[in-house]
Amino acid sequence: MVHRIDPRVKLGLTFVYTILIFIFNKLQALIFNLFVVVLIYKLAKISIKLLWKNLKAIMPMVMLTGLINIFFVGGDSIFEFWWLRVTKQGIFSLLFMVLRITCLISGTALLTFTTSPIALTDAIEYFVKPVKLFGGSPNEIAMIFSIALRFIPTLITEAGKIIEAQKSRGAHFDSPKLMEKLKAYIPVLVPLFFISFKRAEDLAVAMESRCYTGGDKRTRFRSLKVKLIDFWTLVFVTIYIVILYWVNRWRVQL
Amino acid sequence: MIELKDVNFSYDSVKPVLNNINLQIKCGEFVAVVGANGSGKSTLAKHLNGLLVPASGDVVVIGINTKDATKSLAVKQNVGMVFQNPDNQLVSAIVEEDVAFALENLQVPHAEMKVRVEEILEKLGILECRYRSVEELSGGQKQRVAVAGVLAMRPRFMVLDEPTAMLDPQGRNDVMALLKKLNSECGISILLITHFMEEAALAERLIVLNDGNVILEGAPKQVFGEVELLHKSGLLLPQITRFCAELKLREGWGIVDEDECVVELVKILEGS
Repeated sequence: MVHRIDPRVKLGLTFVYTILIFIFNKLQALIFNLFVVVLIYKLAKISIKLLWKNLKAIMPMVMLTGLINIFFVGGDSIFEFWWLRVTKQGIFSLLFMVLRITCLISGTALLTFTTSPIALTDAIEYFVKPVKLFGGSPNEIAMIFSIALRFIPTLITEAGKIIEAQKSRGAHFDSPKLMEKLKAYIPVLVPLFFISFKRAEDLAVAMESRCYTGGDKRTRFRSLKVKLIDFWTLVFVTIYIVILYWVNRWRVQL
Repeated sequence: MIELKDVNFSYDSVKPVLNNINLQIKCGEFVAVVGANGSGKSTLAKHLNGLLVPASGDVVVIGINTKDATKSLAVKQNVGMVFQNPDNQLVSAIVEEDVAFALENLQVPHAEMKVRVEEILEKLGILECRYRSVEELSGGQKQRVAVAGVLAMRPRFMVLDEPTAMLDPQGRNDVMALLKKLNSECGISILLITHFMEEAALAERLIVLNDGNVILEGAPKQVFGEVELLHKSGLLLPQITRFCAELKLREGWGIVDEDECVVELVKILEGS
């Protein structure tokens, strides 16, 4: 069901959601929010494991910043050791930060989990419409995005082939040293760039041959239509924000 | 009709790439252009739909001079171009959207676009992969999508620049059969640029380019008879033609396929 919501609505709401996460500043509001997000995952039939994988990747960084918080936030100290002082407020702030980032990632990941890249491009085109005022072309921006998406798999295949070719010439990609590993990829990137430019040129000629002239004077094959579900989504989200605001105003004694 | 009158062209104004080319491609014709690498084949192709304009001379497409920048879209719409690498000419990631690309550019209304895209996909027998990603397709299928994308413009001419060079034999046969069908059933003029002589033999008329000059022009049978000249311009004749030429039974013997070869040999054997 979540998949069927208009990509523009989803992209807009993701933006609003990001702001909300930073406005609501109480632990209970974030916990409540996380609970609701998990419910939406269930509704969209996306496994929580997938989300967990994403979270695990950035958790070390979050924990590190959190730990710094523990030691440097002033307040009622719980325990002191040499010059390190752990405070109640510090632990609280660690917890808070982990929660806030978890909320942020789980919420925004919903967008990419439930929206195809092409639909997302359409939504981006809709939201960059103001660039018209500065002489830009939303359609061209969307075209850039969609071509980039179109060529990602092509270039990945290409990179694979180049790696194989360099390996057969005796290149090593499995050095344990980071610097050497990075260096090994230079002979991959250079031809990859070279080939990409060639491809871009070919594509430009092919596009021109098919009457592409740039600008916004084009009709659209795919068209986004606002459906009933989009209306209800907005209604529910509005109600939810009010509830969240109410939850955020609770006084909880810790 | 596409008419080339005294066309000269050079990329760097030092080394000429096309030298006084005079050609006519009539409606409904199937013409093949052959030539070694660097003979100016692709440059010639790019002149036909106005991607390049001649340094001197004129290219006139159904009455429109390609130098007229205000009518360049009409020229491009009438002369569809298909290129060698299928990967580099598909713009959208989804098959049906790629076919619609030219229609979007020509500002065809949404409802008509849907109908036309479906019609073309059906005609080319790729309707069942309309929602598929172009990445999943085989080379032959990709080239078929590229042809569909060009056909969507409803061109009168199609120029194909070595469309089979990157395909396997199966894909190559598919594309050639498709071109034959488009030519005979839909009346679209085809100009096929190729270095496969077997493919060129399927055309009604053959044009041989060497160093930017048209050195031979005529029916494949006639052209293949000029073994010496073709050899000098770096072209390898079809196996069967070479076989007959080596036999040296008769001068100017342009055999193009096996069946014909058998018939002719039987005739000779009966005669002797």
